[in-house]
Amino acid sequence: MNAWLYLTKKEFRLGLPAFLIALILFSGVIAAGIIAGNRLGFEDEIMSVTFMIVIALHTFFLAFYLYYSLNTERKRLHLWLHTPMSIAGLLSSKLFTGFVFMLSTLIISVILAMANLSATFSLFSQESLFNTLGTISIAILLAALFISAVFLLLWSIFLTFSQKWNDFFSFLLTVILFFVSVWAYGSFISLPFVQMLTNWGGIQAGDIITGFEVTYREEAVDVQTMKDATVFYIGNFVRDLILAVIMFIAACWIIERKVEV
Amino acid sequence: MITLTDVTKKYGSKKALDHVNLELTPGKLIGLVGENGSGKSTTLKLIAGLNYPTKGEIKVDGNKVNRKIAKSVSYLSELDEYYRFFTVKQSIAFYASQFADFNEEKAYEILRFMKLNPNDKLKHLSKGNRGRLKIVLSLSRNVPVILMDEPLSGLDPMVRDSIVKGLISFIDLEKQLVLITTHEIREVENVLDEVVAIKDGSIIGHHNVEQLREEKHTGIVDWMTEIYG
Repeated sequence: MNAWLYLTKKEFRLGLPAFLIALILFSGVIAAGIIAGNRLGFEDEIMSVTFMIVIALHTFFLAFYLYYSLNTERKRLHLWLHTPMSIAGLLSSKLFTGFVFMLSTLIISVILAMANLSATFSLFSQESLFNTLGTISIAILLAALFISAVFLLLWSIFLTFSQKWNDFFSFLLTVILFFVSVWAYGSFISLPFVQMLTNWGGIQAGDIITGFEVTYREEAVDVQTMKDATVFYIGNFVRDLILAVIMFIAACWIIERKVEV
Repeated sequence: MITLTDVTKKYGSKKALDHVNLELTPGKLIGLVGENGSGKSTTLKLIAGLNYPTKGEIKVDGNKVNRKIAKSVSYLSELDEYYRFFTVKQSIAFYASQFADFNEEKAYEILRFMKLNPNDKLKHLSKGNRGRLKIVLSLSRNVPVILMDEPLSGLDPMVRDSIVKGLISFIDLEKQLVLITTHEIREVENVLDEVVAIKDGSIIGHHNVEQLREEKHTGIVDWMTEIYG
C-alpha cells in the first residue's frame, strides 16, 4: 500500500501538466463565454451555457489525462514497468490521480454553474437545480470512467500493435478495431434477449430537462425548458460497469503479457 | 543463477537472438561484450522480464522470467530517461518505496562516492551525473541479479576508472551476480570474472577472464579482436 501511495504521489507530479492544460482549456472556454456575452449583451445566459459546456467537457477529462500520462510513460517504459507492482496497481494509480484532478475542476464548475443558473433563471428552484446538476455530474463521472476504460484497452492494443508496425498504421488499426467493436457491442445490446437481461430496475424520471427553447427579443430573452419523461434502467448501468471492469482487466493483461520495452 | 535455454528473440522478421544457451552463476561480475546491434541489450531486457523470448526459456534462480522478476532483478537501462521533476533525494525515496529490498543507507553511501548532491533536480543534472545516479539506484538493491546496460556511457573517461573500482566495493560478490554490457572494455577488464561475447545474436565465446589470461596469454580486447576476426 505504501508503494502504491508513493507511486500515486509521483503520478500527481507526472500528470500535473495535463491538469494545467485542462484548466487552461476550461478557462479559455469561460473567457470566450465572457467575451461573447459582453459583445452580444446576454452575459448571464451565455455564461450559463458556457458553464454547461465546461461541465460536459469533463466527460473526456480522464481519458485525456490518461493519454497524457501514459504517453509520457511510453518514453520510459523500462522505468514504469520494471517494478514488482501489478499492472492493475500501476494503472489504478493513474486513474485515481486523474479522477481527483477531474473531480476538483468538476466541483468548481458545478458550483459556478449553480450560482449562475439560479441567479439568471427563475424557472429553477434551488432543489431542482441541485438535483439536475447532481445527476448530470454523476452521469459525467460514470461516463468518464467508462470512456477511460475504453481508452486504456485501446492504448494497450495500440502499444502491442506498435511493436510490430509503425505508429500511424498501429493507430489506424486500433481505430478500425474500435469502430468494429462499437458496432458489435451496439448490435449485441440491441438483441431482445440481452435487453431482457439488462432492462431491469427501471427508474421513471419525469420532467427531465432535455433542452432549452430560447426566444430573443430586443428588450429581453425568454427561456423555456423542454422536458421529457424517461426511464433509466439500473441494469444498463450494471452492464456498462461490468464491461468497464472487463476492459480494465483486459488492458492489464495485455500490458502484462504483450507489451515489451 | 541465470539460465537461457535455446532462446530466440525476433523483432518482426529480424532475429535479435538466435538459439542462445547460457548459464551464469552467482558471485560473479560478468561482462557481455559485442558490437552494436549484436543482441546485448536484448539479452538484458529478456532477463529483466521486459521483453519476452519468441522461443526458448529464461530462468532466474529457477523461476521462469516474466515482468514480476523485477522483485529479484535490478535493471539499469542504457536509455537516458528519467522523471525530470524529482530531485536526487526524491528519486532515492521513490525507489525505496517501490522496492522492498532497496537499501537507502547504501544508496547515500554510493551517492557520496559518486559525489552527487541529494538536493539537485534531475532535470539540472549533467548526462554524466544522471548516469551516476542510475548506478546508485541499481546498486542499492539487495537482489541476487543486477543487470547494467552500458552503465559507463556518457561518463567522463577521467572518472570511469574510479567508478569501476568503486563498483566492486558496492557489490556483494558472495551473493550477487552482475551482468554488465559495455563498450569500454579496457576500463572494466580488470574487475570482470567472466566474459561472454555475442555476435549477430549468437554467443561466440564464454570465458573465465583469469583463465583467458593464464591459458591464452591474452586480455579481453585481444581475445575479442581474435574471435571477431
